[in-house]
Amino acid sequence: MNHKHSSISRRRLLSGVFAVGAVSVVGVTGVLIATPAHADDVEEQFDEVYKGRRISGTRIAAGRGRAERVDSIVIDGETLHLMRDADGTYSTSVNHYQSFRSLRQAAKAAVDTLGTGTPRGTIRGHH
Amino acid sequence: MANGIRQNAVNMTADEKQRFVSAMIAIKANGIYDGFVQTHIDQFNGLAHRGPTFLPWHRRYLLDLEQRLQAVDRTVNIPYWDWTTAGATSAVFAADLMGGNGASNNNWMVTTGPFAVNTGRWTLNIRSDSNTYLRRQFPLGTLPTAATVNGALAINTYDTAPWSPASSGSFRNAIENIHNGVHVWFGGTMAGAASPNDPLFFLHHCNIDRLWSQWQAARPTATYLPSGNTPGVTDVNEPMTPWPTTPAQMATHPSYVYG
Repeated sequence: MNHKHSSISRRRLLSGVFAVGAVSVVGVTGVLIATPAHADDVEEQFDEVYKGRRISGTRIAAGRGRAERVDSIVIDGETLHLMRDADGTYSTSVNHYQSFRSLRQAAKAAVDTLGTGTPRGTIRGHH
Repeated sequence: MANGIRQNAVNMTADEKQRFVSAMIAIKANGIYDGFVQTHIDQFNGLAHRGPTFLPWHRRYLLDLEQRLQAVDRTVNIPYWDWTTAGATSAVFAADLMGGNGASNNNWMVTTGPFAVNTGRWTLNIRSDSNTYLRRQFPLGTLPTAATVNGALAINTYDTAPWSPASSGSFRNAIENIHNGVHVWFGGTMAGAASPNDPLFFLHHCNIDRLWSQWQAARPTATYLPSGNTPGVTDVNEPMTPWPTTPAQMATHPSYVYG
């Protein structure tokens, strides 16, 4: 499936990127936010409802002015903490013992595991 | 120091269960337990998982918890849960030890046993999600079989390059994958980086440590690998964050035996 040209609002993309403190990025619809992301660099992009939860994800390769790649998942406005393994798969703070080939798979698994809960914006606990 | 005996959870007497549960609740009440949860969360992309330190890191982690429990009650040792013989309907999940499953119509909240939130004694304070109570969603998939475990135990080499989930011919990677499947089987609390919030974490890892101990006993000359010169990977004599402890120092476990 090609997610590169799916419709996503500038506002949602901003919220996701700012939430992870990642590098600047461009909306896949071509709206320039800061450093432009060439369409070929956008490896995955989705923004949809799964089991009543709003899930979105952005995966952009490094290069063309971006020092680091972007990997982001947001569930109902909360950032899901991600780890990208050496083989390019992902695990998350919610599904720590599984690997996912795509951000969409990781986001859906997190919804299944969280039940009615949401991810925390940080993996540091709060007293 | 006399050896403590880490025994199979299904063989515990009523008194032993009560002592173990009481010690766990005591260190939960004074905040020590939550510190253990934080230590595990801090290893989200650290060296506790997906590499050779998986086994010695968790051996040290369980030793620390066991010492804290023994400061409350010196008769207590961590029991192990052998998931190849004690499944979802076993005494492990009875109300006098670990408590039972959650239900889909209740957000998978555990409502039975000493660690249910309605006891008022087991609120999840340190978390990676917003759920403040213990949750279980088993069975998701199946628990590992004895045949699978025996396959892992037959691997002679502790670990292999690239010292990761991609390692083949690696005892560590085989046993870590088996271990991963048990976390996944639970879903809920056990699936996440804050999995030690479920006390079953420690019974599960006690079994993993027992299997490593068996593997070691069968191979007196086998050692932790890598032995040295692997940038970015913890060698046998390098410390394991957050401790100064090295894998070499975790090669034996003089303070306990498996019964």
